[in-house]
Amino acid sequence: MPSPVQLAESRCKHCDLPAPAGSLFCCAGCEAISRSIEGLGLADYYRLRTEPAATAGAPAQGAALEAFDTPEVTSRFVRVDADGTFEADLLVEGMRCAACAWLLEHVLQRSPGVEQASFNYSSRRALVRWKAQVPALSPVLAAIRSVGYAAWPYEAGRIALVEQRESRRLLRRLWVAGLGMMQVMMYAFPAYIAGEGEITADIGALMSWSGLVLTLPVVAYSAGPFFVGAWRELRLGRLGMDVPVALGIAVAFAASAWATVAGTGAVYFDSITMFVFLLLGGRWLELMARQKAGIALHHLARLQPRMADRLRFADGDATESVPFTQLVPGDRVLVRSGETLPCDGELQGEGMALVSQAWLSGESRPLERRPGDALLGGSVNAGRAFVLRVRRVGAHTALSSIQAMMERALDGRPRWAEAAQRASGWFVGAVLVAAAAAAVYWMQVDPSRAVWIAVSLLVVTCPCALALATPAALTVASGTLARLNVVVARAGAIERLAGVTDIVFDKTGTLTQGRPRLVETHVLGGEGEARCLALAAALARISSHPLDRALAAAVEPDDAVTATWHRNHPGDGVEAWVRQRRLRLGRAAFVAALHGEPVPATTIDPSLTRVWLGDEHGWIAAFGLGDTLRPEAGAAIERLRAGGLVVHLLSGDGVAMTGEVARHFGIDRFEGEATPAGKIEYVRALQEEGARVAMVGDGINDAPVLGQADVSIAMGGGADLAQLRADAVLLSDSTADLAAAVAVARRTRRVIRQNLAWALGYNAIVIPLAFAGWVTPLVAGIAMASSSLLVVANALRLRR
Amino acid sequence: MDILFLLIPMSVVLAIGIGAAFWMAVDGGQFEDLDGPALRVVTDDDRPTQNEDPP
Repeated sequence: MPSPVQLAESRCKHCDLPAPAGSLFCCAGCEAISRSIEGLGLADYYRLRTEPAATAGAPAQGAALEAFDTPEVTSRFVRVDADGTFEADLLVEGMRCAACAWLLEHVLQRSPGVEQASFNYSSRRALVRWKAQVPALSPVLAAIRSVGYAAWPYEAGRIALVEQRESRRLLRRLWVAGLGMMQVMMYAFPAYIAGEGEITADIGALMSWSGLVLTLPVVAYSAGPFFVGAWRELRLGRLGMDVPVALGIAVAFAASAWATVAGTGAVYFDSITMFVFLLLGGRWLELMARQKAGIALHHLARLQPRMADRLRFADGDATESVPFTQLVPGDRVLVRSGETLPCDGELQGEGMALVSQAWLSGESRPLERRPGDALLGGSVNAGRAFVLRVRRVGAHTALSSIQAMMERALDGRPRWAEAAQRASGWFVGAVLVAAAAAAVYWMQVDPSRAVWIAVSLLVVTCPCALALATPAALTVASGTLARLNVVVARAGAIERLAGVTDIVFDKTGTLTQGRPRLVETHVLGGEGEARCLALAAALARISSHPLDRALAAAVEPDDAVTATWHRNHPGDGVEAWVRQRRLRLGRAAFVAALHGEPVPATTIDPSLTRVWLGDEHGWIAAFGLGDTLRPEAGAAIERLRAGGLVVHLLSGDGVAMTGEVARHFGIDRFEGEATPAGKIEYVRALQEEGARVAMVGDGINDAPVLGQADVSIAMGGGADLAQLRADAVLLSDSTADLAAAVAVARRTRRVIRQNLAWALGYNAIVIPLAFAGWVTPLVAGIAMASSSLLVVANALRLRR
Repeated sequence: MDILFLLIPMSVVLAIGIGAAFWMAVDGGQFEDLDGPALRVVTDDDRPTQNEDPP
């Protein structure tokens, strides 16, 4: 096994990660990007930026850029002007600070044909106008990619316009309330400091009327959302925090206006305007946080043209890679093990197929399908590779099913938010009863103060920690997680992640780089090494398992040796016929079952993963595959353990190999040669001991065990099935981000508890004081609004 | 103190005027990107580039 990366002495010039001693860069990718930035004369970027750039090659692009040039894509995303200029909106990934926007604008302005490029750092969006012969997006996207960012086209119409309208409307309301508050306070202030009789009656009336004129737009326009919200809540038969707020504003304004017209009694216009302004300030902060978090989610729902392997001719195995959208009914598509079906169709050829329709039914157990059976797009091939004859395209593509998954996550409300919503309803009900009781009580004691005490009580109570801060904390946390490359795919994943006690890694691809390579070949039969490799590669080519892919990649494809009649046994290996020979490739027990010979001794290094090849007569060869350990995984595991988590390692690889990796990372609890069923059993045993288990997996073998765990996290590079099953998806494949994600989830839980504790203490003190008449409306407005700002600001701390 | 009868109504009118100005600034998109323009103006290229700003 290659030794882990040496201790870093320098840092990468581009991304600030540790770089090998004597090198300016951490990897070739960063070096290439940095060179192209400097080649364009934009080295100023390194001086201007305030955050290091993203590491090169971190985000997986999915599809080739040419896929963005298909008419289906361009007709949807590229607009054409009268003078032949093209225009497109883009979502940009990887912008870390405003200097990134500067860099990208200059890069695009220097690329041919581009007339205008404006990048907005805060919304991670861009507008590009360019001239060209055909409306192809790939030159623009390639220019962005050349300096280390990723971009996708998106439809600005829907999302952006709604968001823009929402934020502009709130900003206008905030301005009106702010100006009103400052000016009304000017008119109110003399009354606070003047002695008895120092203000004449006519000046006093002038001040009151001026206050009334400037409070009117604040109540009628700025406070509009509170009245609308309260009305909506009442019509739905619920009580939210808008009800007491709206009631308090309405009663205070009506009473003050009456006092102004009648010329007797106190006016509290200053209290009303300040209350509205501070409340809107809290809403503004919350809206900004929500929109920032939303940006990360739009990135997941971005358009990603996926490619399918279409069989070129009616017979033969030659395939070509085409976007999903170009498939037409009647086409035949090769679907490999672990891949998602691009569209509806029927199973071709002979032999059964195993497909999982978890996206539809929620059941992960694969279903057997016979030739000629209908298969649904979005299902996942859980068995051998097969050929699909396309029947319907479009509505049921995998793309739309993944978008459905995203929408499900956004719609589903986490349990915490749900509970907070219910609690705030009860709380508001109690406040209304208390205000009515105070009004009745003070009517008897001192009728002139009764209205103001009831208003103070309505205004001073603060259900905001329940109704505003808890959802805000969860939203902000999901935005922060998305910046850490962890996308929450299901509601409730954050709260479950916060409560996790044990974390179980599936070794393949989680602690190692997931790119195994062939290290050793041990010939066991009478055939030559090249022949053994050719046979193994023919079988391996059918499968999408990383080990098999490494084997296939180790040899040049040889058309003379092709496998037929193949069948995939997930977790065990592949079986196929090559030239009338029945061959098996995979784990020793699986291959031995074909011929019954005992497993022979090999010279292959015990730390390598062994893959065996045999036919019906005996062993042919054994292959040793090595994997490179992820350099950052050690520190990440240390962090997880420091957080009190018990780290486990479950692996389908050999015991020696697993033990080696476990020892390297200091993991005591590990199990090698684990089968899918064994992994489920292991997790269930942990759960019976009272542990709450987070499972980190990547491959097709993990799908069932991801379902068994309390919270499941899929590595982004994994098979589609795992992504569909997981509660969260780790896009970067970096274990360091995982440790950070657990920390964010725990901080979220802590912030929510702090807010609730604050709300409990605050309300317990101010409600009795207000009932006793010791809180004026001004003080009540300031106290409530500050408390509300405090809990929202506390939730916003999760942005870091 | 009679001047107050002129000044106070004037302050009301002034406040309404400022409110209208902010309203138009918000509608004009001046609060959309608060980081970019600051950097753009300081680090502008010496070479002339076309259409530096959106119309």
